[in-house]
Amino acid sequence: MRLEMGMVHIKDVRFGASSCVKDHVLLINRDELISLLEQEPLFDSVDIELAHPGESCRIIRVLDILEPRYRLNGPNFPGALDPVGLVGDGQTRVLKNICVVESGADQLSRNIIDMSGPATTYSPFGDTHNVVLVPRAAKGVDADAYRLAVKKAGLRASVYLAEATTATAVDVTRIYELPPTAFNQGPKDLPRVAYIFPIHSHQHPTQQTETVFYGSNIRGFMPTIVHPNEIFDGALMFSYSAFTYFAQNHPVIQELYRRHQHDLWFAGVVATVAPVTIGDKQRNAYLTARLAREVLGADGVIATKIGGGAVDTDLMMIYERCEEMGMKAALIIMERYPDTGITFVPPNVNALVTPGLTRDAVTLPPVERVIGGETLILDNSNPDNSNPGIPPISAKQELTLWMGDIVGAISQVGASRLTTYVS
Amino acid sequence: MDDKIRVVHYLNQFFAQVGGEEKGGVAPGAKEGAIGPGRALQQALGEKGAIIATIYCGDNYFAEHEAEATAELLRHLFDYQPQLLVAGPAFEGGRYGVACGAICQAAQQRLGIPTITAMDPENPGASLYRKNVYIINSGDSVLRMLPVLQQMAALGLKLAQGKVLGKPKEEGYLPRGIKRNEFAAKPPAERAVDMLLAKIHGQTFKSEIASPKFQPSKPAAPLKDLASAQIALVTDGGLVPEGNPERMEPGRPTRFATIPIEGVDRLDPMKFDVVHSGFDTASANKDPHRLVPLDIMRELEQQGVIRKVHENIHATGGAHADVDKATHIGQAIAARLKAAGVDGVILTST
Repeated sequence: MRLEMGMVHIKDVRFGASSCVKDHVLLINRDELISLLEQEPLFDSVDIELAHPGESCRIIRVLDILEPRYRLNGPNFPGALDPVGLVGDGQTRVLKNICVVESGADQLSRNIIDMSGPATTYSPFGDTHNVVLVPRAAKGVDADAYRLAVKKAGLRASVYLAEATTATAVDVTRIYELPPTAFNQGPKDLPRVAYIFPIHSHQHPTQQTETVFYGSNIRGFMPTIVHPNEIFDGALMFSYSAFTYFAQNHPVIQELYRRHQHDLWFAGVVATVAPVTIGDKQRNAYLTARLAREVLGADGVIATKIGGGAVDTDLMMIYERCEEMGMKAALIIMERYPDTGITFVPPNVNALVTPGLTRDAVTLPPVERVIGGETLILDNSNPDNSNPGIPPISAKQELTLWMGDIVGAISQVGASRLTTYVS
Repeated sequence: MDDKIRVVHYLNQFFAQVGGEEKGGVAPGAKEGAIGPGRALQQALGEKGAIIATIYCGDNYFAEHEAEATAELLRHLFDYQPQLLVAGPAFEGGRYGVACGAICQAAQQRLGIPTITAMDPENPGASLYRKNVYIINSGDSVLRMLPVLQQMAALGLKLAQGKVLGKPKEEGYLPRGIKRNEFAAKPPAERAVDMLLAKIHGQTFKSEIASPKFQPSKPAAPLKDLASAQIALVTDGGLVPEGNPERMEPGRPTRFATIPIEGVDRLDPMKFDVVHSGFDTASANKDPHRLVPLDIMRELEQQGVIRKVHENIHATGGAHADVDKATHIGQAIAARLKAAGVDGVILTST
């Protein structure tokens, strides 16, 4: 299956009379985009603001981030935005250096993007031009329904912006192509490497109407083979704990493609979820390892996780089942607390990579402009930020928060500029 | 003189030139200025710091009267108001090493004075205090006295000036086990593929996260007679009385809740809450018995299968628990149950 990603590099974004790209500048018809998004009955109104690299600007309460994409020959985010269909083949238009940022009204969210200052050394999203959507909920709308509507608005805006560039010449075309597994043998001297991708942890269940994978709420999801191109191209939007930008630009899949035919053979992707009962966890680990070994023929696997500490157990089970079946395994697993480490590490698990430590304090200087609200609740003593009675502070002021609060600094699927050391 | 950092040096009776092993029982004392190795320390501090006093204690005295000795040494420290405490080096002296670690930790925690000490990594003082005190790896040989004192002076001055220390290897201190972020040369996805390929090809590689080390625990012997047994219910699933009066944390617990259940046959969902940040609490909130099976235990009690359900449920919220704190919580609950004559415990987790 072959996916051609036509990249259009954007060097600035402004509001204009019609949405299009001129000389690498994206112009947005603000009113048209707002009225498109305000079709959502759960919103009272929608604001759109622009944030540029280097500005003294902070985006708060970030819910999700997308890179604008438009598929020329098929549905966009099928099942979630467009009717059900397939992705991962054909041509997709991609706007580089620009992101759609959703800012939801969750008062307890600590997710922030700074457009200047130290946060930009950790996160890629201080260097992109960001189109920030700030939808306001209509009266009496359920918080979960509103959250899903904000995520859908992000998809809609992302597709709208990229669609406006279909007449523009692309700067670079990147081809992602893997043949069917049956024909995908590769030379004998290259190790076959599969990627095992738990896309969600049901410790925090999806909403009934939530669209995570091809529009499914993925409750009862069983391990399955997916084509890596599907992950890039709109099959997946994360429910929580990761930003959809990192599915569209999945670091492990990109890396395996980059090295495919050089020092490894990319054998394919197994998608799974982390269930909540022991029996389900064990079954998924068995089936995941079996698919990697006996269907994809992998010699080695990389596995990552999405979610909290509970998924560590799933990841370790997958690791152990894979190694029992004769594959080598390496895991990417985020660290949360400076003094606790990863609690669930069986003694034979010896290949862990850390994308960083989330609870490591970072101080960010004051900013002149805030998008997405005026105040923040930062309770650094509580993992959920949920202690009652913590007074809100001005989001403009100097903030001491955690590395994990800086959107994009640490991604569980393996994007970050960090590692850790023991001090 | 005024802009020099005021330093107090702690030594044992031997290095403080009070006497050898026979003087190990000597009580804490203080003298103005530098003594013994303190002179070389003063040279290493140079113009930046001045040893204003030396405090000392016999190794045996400290080992046998740790609380009194620490209090007395803290009084001396309080009098001198130093900006830095240097203790040792203790090399492989076990009692000396423990005293150095203890006085450093106490000075930091109670007086807010930065401290530095040095000892061999095998010294029992190192494993006791390395998490909270910067300990320089002195090795076990007193022959390294001079270079170790120079390292202590350099690191001590940095700490007194409030500077952030570099990595253990660069600065020479024993790793405390506290993780920090640093920039990496390659992104995690690339490092993971590198690691996997090295593993496949049988080459050397190093995991970035070490396995945790747990104290082994010996399982208790099976109960001989259930019918005469008192059984307690304990959970880390976050059960609390409605309103969470003991303010138990939903995650990162430092405490546990004690829930009296004498005369309570059922856990009424209106009277209990489940607070836990690591799992979906909806079904446990709807029926707390699915977290803590009091309903079944009461039936067994009535049928005489067990003698008695213990009068309290103990509960904590296990999400993101710090292993040390969780150990303390476990020990505290176990001590209570033991004292109450409980024979067996049913632990329910999530």
